[in-house]
Amino acid sequence: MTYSRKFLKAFAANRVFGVSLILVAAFGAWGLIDPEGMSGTSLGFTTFMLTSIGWYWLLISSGFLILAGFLALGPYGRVKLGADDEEPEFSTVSWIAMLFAGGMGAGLIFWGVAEPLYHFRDPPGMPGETAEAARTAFVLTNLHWGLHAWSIYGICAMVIAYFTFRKNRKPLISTPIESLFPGIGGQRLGQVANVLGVFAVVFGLAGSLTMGTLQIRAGLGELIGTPLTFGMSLAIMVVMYGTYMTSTAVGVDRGIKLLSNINMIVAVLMVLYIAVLGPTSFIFETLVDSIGSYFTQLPGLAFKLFPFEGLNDWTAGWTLTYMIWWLAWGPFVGIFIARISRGRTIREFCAGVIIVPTLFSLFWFAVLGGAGVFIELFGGGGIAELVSQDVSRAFFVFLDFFPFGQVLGFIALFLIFIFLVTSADSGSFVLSMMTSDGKLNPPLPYKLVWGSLVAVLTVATLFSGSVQVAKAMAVTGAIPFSVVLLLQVVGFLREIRSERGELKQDAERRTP
Amino acid sequence: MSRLHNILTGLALITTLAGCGLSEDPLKVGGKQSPENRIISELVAEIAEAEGIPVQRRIGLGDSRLTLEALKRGEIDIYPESTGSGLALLGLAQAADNDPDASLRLLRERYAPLGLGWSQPLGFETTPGLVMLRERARSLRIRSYSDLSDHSGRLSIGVDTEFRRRPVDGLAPLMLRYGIEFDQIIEVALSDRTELYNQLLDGDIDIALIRSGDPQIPMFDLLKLEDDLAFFPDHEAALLYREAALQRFPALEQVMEKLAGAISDEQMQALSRRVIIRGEDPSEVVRDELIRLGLIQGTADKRNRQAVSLAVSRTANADGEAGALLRQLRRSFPTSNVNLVRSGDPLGAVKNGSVRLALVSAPAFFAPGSTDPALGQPPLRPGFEAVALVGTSYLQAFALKSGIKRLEEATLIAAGPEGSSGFRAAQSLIDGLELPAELMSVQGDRPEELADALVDSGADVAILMQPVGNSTALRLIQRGLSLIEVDNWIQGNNRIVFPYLQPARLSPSDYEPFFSDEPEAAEADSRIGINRPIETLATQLVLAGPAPAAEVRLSTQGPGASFDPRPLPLTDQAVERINAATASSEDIYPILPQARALAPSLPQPPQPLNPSPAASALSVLAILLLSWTVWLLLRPETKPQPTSN
Repeated sequence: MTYSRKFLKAFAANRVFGVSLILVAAFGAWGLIDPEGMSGTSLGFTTFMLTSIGWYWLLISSGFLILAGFLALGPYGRVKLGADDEEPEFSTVSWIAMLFAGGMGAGLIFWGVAEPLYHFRDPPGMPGETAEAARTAFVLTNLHWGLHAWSIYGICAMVIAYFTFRKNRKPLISTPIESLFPGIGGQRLGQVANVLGVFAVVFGLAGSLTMGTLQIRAGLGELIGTPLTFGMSLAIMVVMYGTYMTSTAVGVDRGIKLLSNINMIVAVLMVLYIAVLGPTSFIFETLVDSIGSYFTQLPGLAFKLFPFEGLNDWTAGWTLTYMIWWLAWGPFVGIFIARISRGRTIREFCAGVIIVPTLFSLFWFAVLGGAGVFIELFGGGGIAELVSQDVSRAFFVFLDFFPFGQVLGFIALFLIFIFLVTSADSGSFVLSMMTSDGKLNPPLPYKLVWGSLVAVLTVATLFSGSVQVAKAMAVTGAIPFSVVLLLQVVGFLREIRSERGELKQDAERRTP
Repeated sequence: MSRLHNILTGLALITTLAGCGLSEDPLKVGGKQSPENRIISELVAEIAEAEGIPVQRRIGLGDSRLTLEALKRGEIDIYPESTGSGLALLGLAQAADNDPDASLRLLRERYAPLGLGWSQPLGFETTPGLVMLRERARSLRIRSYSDLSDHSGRLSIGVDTEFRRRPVDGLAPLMLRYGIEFDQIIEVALSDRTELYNQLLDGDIDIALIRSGDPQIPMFDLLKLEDDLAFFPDHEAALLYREAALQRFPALEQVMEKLAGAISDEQMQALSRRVIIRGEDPSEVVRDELIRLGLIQGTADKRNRQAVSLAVSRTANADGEAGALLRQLRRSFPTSNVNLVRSGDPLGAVKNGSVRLALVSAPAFFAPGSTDPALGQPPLRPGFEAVALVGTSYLQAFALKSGIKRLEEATLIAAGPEGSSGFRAAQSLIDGLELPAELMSVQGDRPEELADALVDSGADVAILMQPVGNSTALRLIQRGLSLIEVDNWIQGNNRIVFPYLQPARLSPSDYEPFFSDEPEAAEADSRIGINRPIETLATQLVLAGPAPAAEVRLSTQGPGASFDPRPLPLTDQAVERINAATASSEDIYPILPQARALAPSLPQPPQPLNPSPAASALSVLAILLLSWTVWLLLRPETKPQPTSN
């Protein structure tokens, strides 16, 4: 009784919580009452943003990649995200497993086969289904899932981790902004940024969970013929809710860690199974080839738009959509990665958050996409045709080419499920951190409230039956957040510059 | 520790599985390209699988020479071949007495040194022969091959490439033997042998070289010319296999025993008919047949996820328009199976995603019963687009009661299910002609059932909107019902309100091909329905697919476009391939929504120098934002006093 009163009081005093709750409720209600109006408006807005200033999105995404390279290799590489003598909180393997599970999620499963095949059939600006198209397909896929994605996450996370663990400030989106604009104006701006962050995370999470639930439903329908009804979605969502609330309640050091490790092991085993039973040497040739062509073509592709070919729509539909997805997930994955990265140097951090996952996704696409392209080029074919028809079905048909295809299908569904659970788990954790004024281990009631709110939003979106609403939710937050992120980065760079300046001054003062 | 253990166990499992996968080389079942060979190859593969032999299919390789070469090299282990071809491939002539046993003995003797063996004959013949249309042969007085030499140099013949090339029993030796010259020799690929029948029926060629087992011969009532000098030995189908394969898989012996003499000419014709005429998938035909005979276990309707499904109305004639379209779709989607699904509302099946394509007449695109107040036209059903023009549907109105001579006399009109084009066309007819009649819909799962249901409905008139040759219409004609004329359609503004219904004339000759396979079957009876040209209405028969969503999407492609439970539209490439296969020279009605790939591509008008001022403004804002951040980063440190503490 007293506990809940105290809890309510804390909520009432928390302006960020109140304002974001109202905004979330308003936007969610709009989506429910008028799904077409809401998705039309916000998707129209996003599409306009993507097509008319495509150059801006590509520029800032590639800018983050360059910045990450500079931070890792430049003068700040040895700065520790924590006190100078601190040790990392999580083991390296668990750390990588967790950030992977939080960041990429379910998309990796289906698009592993589908994206290379899609580009193989219909690459931009060249004829499809040729050897050259296959090579381009892998380069493009890796461009979308590789260094860019992880640099965006990495920068988001590094900024937060630096202020939290090195400067002992609150792990909030507003912290770097307040340091950039000291004074009351900065605080106001910071609160706006915090609300925007909560907004982006809640809807990013609810939108992704909705799409994930539909994917699992489609998968179950393919595998065991369950009906594609709202009841089925609800059942999946209830199971998912139960799982992630349990995992949340147990705490990040046990729940998410355990799930992420399981997920990582199962994913690696599955991909090895496919690599070994599939065209193994072809797959590894693809891997080596795609590493080579990715890294050699990266400088060009990182700035490649198609103004002369008139392929604006292609860039907006693929590359920029991915970039904006990564940006939309930035605040949430960023804070989560920051939370688990205490005590690592910036160089170590960049290697772990950017290089290792990129190498893994190169391997992932080489195996799944490589086997798919092999089937198209030298085997019976037929999967590429399905990709343009139904991505999830294409994936299960692909698995049927392997022994125990049905079992593999269930394993893949299990992976998607766990990916979603860890995302939802870390999401409600992050939301609680953001609204409890930056507590590193926020109290359980916060996590319950946010976890349940996200679940309610997801169920409501599922009930409205509009995937468009889910998509609109998932990406709309990214556009204002890109401005916040730029300011955060500037605040961070100024801070780390002055820290180094102080160090230098200290050193100079001591030497004479 | 325990995790390491887990990983190791996993790895061990994978290695074992991989070991299993690689140790056994499967039985490689080959086959020539022609449909009947595909069927037999599938049959061998299915039965071998049922015997527990791992099978790899390499069916549809090429002609006899290539397939035999593959067998010799060990690329395949077994394939069906005819005894006659077997002899000809070694350059041997037929045995003088034409004794099948002697031929087989000779074959086994001569193939043994190559390490190859011949099974017992399978039971049916597949002897080459020449056929003509009866009328043509009668007018030229041709009955036998020798008669052909009387018209030497004036006739054209169609053959497949394999037959053309064969030096011992091919076209050139045949011409030498009988002393014939042909005016023109048309050659088609072995896999397109069916095409020869179309050309023969169209009159493009006078004579076609066929195989005796072809189902089209009785179907089109063709005349088989007499091989009066016995040029072609009897070709019995048998299996040609590698001895080595028999040693590897002793169970292959049982497979061949099971098949020895097991397939009669009639059975083979029935199976070929399903594949060649109806365009069904050979492997499914074979599975169905084996399950029906109880030779293998399984359920007939095995779900095929890789399939492209085509929905047709419940009354569509699988021997007619649906089969032809299915064959064309097979060519457009070479790597997928194309299935036929029957549905009361084919477009509805497209909408709920259970099929990819639907074959419908143009009226099915319109929602029945109401009119769009703005246009005065019936409203379109949303969510579909026409992908290709396939043919023509005719309004076929049957008088169910003897007294009825005109539509205006009817008080009750019956049509198919509500989603069907017949129902919609009947509704348009009632609206357009201001008929006093009521419309009722009738259900029937099969063409004959629907025909019977229409007759039993108690209505005065039954209306179908289907191509000529529709099974239900044929059935109604056979039952002696007559077609009524619709000749006053042009009155009023019907052609503006219902632009998809055009006046047309049906003549008795249109129906003739569909009655010729039962020449005597109530010759008089069947012609009651149509014995003179009938004025009626026609519309386009089109292939329809899901339309792209009209509302805003994140994008038309890419990750933002997928994971939509609604069906995605066909890609432009798929539409282009389908249109290449259907090869229609006419455009689809402009009133129907059409696939993007079908729209004429206009040259781009010159763009204004600034296409979007909003985009310019946004760009300026973005530049200002970036400049501001750079300034924030570079401005000198001001060291303001912190406000708090």
